[in-house]
Amino acid sequence: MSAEPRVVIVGAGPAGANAALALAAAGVRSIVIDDNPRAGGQIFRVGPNDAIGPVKPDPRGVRLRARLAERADMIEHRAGHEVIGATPERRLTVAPPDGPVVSLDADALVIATGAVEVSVPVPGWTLPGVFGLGGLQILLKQSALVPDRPVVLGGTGPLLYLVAAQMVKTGARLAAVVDAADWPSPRHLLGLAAMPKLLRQGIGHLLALKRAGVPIHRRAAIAAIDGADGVAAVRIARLRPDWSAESAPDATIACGIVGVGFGVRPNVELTGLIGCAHLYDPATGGWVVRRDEDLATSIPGVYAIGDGAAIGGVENALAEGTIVAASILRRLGRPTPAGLVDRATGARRRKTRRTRFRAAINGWSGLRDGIFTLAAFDTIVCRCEGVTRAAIESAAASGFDELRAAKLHSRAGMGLCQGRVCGDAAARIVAHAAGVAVEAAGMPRARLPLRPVAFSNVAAPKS
Amino acid sequence: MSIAPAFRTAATQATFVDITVDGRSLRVVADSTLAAALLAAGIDRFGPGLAPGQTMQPFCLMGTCFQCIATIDGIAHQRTCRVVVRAGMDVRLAGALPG
Repeated sequence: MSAEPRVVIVGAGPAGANAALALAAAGVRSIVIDDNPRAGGQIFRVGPNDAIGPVKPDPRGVRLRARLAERADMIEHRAGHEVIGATPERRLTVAPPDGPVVSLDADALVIATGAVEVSVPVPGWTLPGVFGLGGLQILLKQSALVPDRPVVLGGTGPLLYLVAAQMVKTGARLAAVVDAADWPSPRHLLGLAAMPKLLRQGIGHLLALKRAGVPIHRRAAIAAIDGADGVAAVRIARLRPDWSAESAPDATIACGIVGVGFGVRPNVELTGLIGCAHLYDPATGGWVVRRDEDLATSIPGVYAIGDGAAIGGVENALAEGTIVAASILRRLGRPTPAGLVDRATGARRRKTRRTRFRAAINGWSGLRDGIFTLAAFDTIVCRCEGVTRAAIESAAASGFDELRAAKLHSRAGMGLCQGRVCGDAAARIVAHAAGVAVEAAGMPRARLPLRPVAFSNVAAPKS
Repeated sequence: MSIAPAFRTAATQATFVDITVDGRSLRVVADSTLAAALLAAGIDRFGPGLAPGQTMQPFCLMGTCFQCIATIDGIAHQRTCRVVVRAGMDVRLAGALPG
């Protein structure tokens, strides 16, 4: 290994990119590995051509990409590369877009892998025309596709209203918005006011929906999606305080496209694979990474930042990028420029504000486990392997009360996506059937390789 | 199966490329992901799933769910939501069946 330390950052979203930029400013090189073709993560996602669509790219994302390009001397951005394996010794296995996998050793490893949308299986959710809320937004942002059939959006949280407002703005026919949460209470609004700009944006989205006359159903969920070979209608059920259905669905709304999303959780597959300690904290997304003040995980030299560690939003991700850069400079015994010290201190100080905002978001719209009882016994929960709720429950009832065992028994979560889509639901179904708390069922874990790789690219002969 | 597309393109300055899907030639918007291009062409199911009657098609559009996989230029299990269309691309849709 050369005298120069090697810093590897996984993820080029706001957290990872900002960490790389702060390190570059302090004279430390880094390699940023990202599975997307362009930097910015999901929040600042754009297509290959910025100008393609009706939704203007977020200027913060445009700036971030420009700054990364300016610092190409210090930051090696490996776009379209996927980390498929990692060890506690900080050795990564990386799959490039084509060709054999490569091995990469890091002196400091920063995991900034972002969030995953939480999916809730309901009857009919595997029909063509049903998308994740984030997915519908990506079609719009990245490929300029606007739904040409009536749309119903369901789920909870800020993304629901953002996507709804974007649908209205781009001329999609939005038939209804179905929110599991109630209106934010005065106490929640007070917390949301900790980030006035975001609160204003949210109110703006709501007003846009009002102006367009879009009906908003509250304390309700899309409990079933009907159609023979594509979406024809959704059925809406009122929810109890725990978000289980109060009664059979009582309203039917005709539509051709459905978008559903119940907030986000940290993508902890890489920290899980390495063996970092995690803890269960529903307020920041469920299974989150245990970290100290320096954002270091329980494994020496491994840091976790942004929504990939614990859900905190984009402002928090940017701040943690700055903070982790200062931590890494200390670890490497490098001087920390005064500017970075100030910015890291400022970022820590503003944390209180962000935490208050996040707590209010969670108090208002945080996932409640009753929602996972909407799946019928014959509803497919694991889409990859075609496993139903009944099959998972029978595995749990035969004594496999730990998620890992129930997974091996039922094959739920054993498919190509490794449980990234069904893991949240499968864990609740197992815990519910076995009568244990969801954290007792264990953290969903992905296995090596994290993504499928062609055998020829792993077993390539040594040249 | 192809019916009236569920999506329309709002691309402001579209150029086009030709690709082949299951042997059929298709003109799609350049700079679009393959998943988006297929949806825009009215292809709304990408093959059978493993459960009876289940179909596979794009769901998350961000590389997570693997429901939009296809064989592209002979390489199986490619997530079409992560691949940008290229002229001459040969796409085979097989769903969960061996590609």
